[in-house]
Amino acid sequence: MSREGMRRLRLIAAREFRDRVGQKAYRLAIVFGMILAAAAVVLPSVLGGGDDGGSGPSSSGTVVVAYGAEGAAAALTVDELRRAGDGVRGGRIHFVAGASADAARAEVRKGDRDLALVVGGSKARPSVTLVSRQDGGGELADQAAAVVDRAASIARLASSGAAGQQALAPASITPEIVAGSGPTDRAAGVVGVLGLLLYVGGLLLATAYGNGVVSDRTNHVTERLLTAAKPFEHLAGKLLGIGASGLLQFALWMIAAVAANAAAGHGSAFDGVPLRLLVFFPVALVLTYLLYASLAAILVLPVRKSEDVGPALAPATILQIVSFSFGTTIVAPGSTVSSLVHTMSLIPFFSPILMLCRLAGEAVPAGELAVGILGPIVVSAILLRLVAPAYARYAIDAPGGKGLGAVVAMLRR
Amino acid sequence: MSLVADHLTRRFGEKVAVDDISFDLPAGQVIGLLGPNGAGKSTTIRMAMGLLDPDEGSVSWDGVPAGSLDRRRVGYLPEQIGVYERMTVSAHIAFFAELHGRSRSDAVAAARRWSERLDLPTDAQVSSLSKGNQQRVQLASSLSHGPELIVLDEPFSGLDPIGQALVEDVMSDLAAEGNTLVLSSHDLERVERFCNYVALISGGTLKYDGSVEGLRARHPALRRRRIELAEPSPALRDALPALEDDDDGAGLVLSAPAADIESEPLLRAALDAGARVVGLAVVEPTMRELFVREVQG
Repeated sequence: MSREGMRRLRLIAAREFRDRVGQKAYRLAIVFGMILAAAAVVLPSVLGGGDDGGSGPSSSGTVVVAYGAEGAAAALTVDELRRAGDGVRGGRIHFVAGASADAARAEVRKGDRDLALVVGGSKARPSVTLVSRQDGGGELADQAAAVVDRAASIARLASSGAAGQQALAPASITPEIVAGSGPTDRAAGVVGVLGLLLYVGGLLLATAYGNGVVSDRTNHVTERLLTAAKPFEHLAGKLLGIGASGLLQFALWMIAAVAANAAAGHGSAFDGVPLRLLVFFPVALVLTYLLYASLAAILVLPVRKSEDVGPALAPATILQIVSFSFGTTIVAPGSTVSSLVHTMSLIPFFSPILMLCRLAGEAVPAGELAVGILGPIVVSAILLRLVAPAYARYAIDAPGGKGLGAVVAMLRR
Repeated sequence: MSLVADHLTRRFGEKVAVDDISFDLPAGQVIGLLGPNGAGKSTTIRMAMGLLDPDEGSVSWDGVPAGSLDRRRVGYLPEQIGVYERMTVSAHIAFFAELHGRSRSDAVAAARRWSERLDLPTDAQVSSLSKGNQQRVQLASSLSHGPELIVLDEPFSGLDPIGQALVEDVMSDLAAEGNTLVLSSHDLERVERFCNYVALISGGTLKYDGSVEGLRARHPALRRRRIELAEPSPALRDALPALEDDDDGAGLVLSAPAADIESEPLLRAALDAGARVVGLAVVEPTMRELFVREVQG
């Protein structure tokens, strides 16, 4: 695109942005959205009546206990751990016996268990490996370590009384992190919410774009505009302007939610959530908007009235529902990415949401991530390029006929 | 910039809106595009502006295809009002000036100048204006970048007499500056006053393109020889039954086709009938008469 074309595109984008940001409805939506987002974060804990002793839900979970070497069982038994756990304030930890150290590690990796304790050493000085997934186990790990210490102390006192300095030595606890095959509970929950936001946000913004294109046409502005700018410049400028205003709205809502969370004195709502997931979300939102808005530009070509925009966008909605549905199959803890979902995550119309879901459970290779990001941008640009001539042609006159007839007439031209 | 159409055809479904039109309109002129409703004027204009593709044929300005026109040189006022209602008047005008290639400071200055010229409230929101004033905003937005080729589709539509006078002034100035103006209008008196060249379209086909004098020359039968009397003269009417009343039956102004009677026989007949003659003249047909004759045949 020429420099002059870029300038026109920027002018159109800036006008669209100012136009939307200047609307009362937009500002009201920001304010109400921020209030709702803050309330959604704060209210559950307020209505839930707080917690007992400061431990949150993440200090509860199931811990598998296995033994690293023959005879190590004597160092700390599952029963000793259970009894010690009853005396520790905080969340409930359910200890279960595991078959072997490797099996216990595998269970943690798959997400079947929250933690594993691989016990070794002797009664006098037990050594415990605390196995957790990539998030380090959070509060549950701290809680489990406290239980191990307590159990070791009780066991030593019970067996030898005051047996000198050695008996007072604490248990040796070594953390070990294994790579999980699926998202953690927290990551699964967060990616579910983010996926839903992506679906709703993409749909709302794409609909706003479709409405904007149709309303320019019905208000007869397009006819005037197209003598000053090229159709692609108009479509792309509008896309960027409306997108920027929508993303600003989303950003403010998110900031309100995070600020409310911090002000309420909760720990970070994103503890245990991979950073890559949080970084990718805004990228995914932009990609989703670009894809579905450029698809909307095609779908609203035969539309002459704003009220027909929603039904015209049904195919885009269906695509989003499909990608969201596939996304839900891989966000459960311990779930794995099937080859179908893996492939789909590289296809532009599915990639934003499916890549987001994949990132919740695994580190996606950089090459695949690049495909997932660049694909939607390229496809969006191609769609707009393709639709621009037809858009100019039908900016003024209907393609003739109604419904399918209009589409057929359009394609024939 | 001269406008050349070469076998231009455009269909909408089964309807042929423009049917094999060819013309060559000269540069630096005020050109009137005439025709009844649905004649194909707006479709022709849209093809000339590169907004619609012809199904057949081509249209170009100084040899440049309409679709490749330099947007900085063109100003277009569409038939229907199409404005951004939530913008202020000055922001609206400046936006279009910038879009047509003016710098930000030039555009702001042009917006101020054109708001004053067309008597528009600079800071008012476009949505708060009457239809007539919105039409003025649209006109200002079409002209603020200083185009040399100006296409105005029904520029007087929706304007009150004051607005019409303002727009007439603007058009006169634009013509005096040597710009090429294409004016589509049903207001035939204005077209007659402004245009030195006309293209007449009816039923999608071009009926005529050329000078106004040339159009008159095509219809010599419409020239009338008119005699003006001090008082009605039934004797003269009896002597020359071809004479028709031109003043709604008062009988003081009578006329007949100039081709049917020469001045001398008419004057002699009047004197023989004892009529007191006040004036005798040949009256050229009005644009309205020419239009009706061309359209209705």
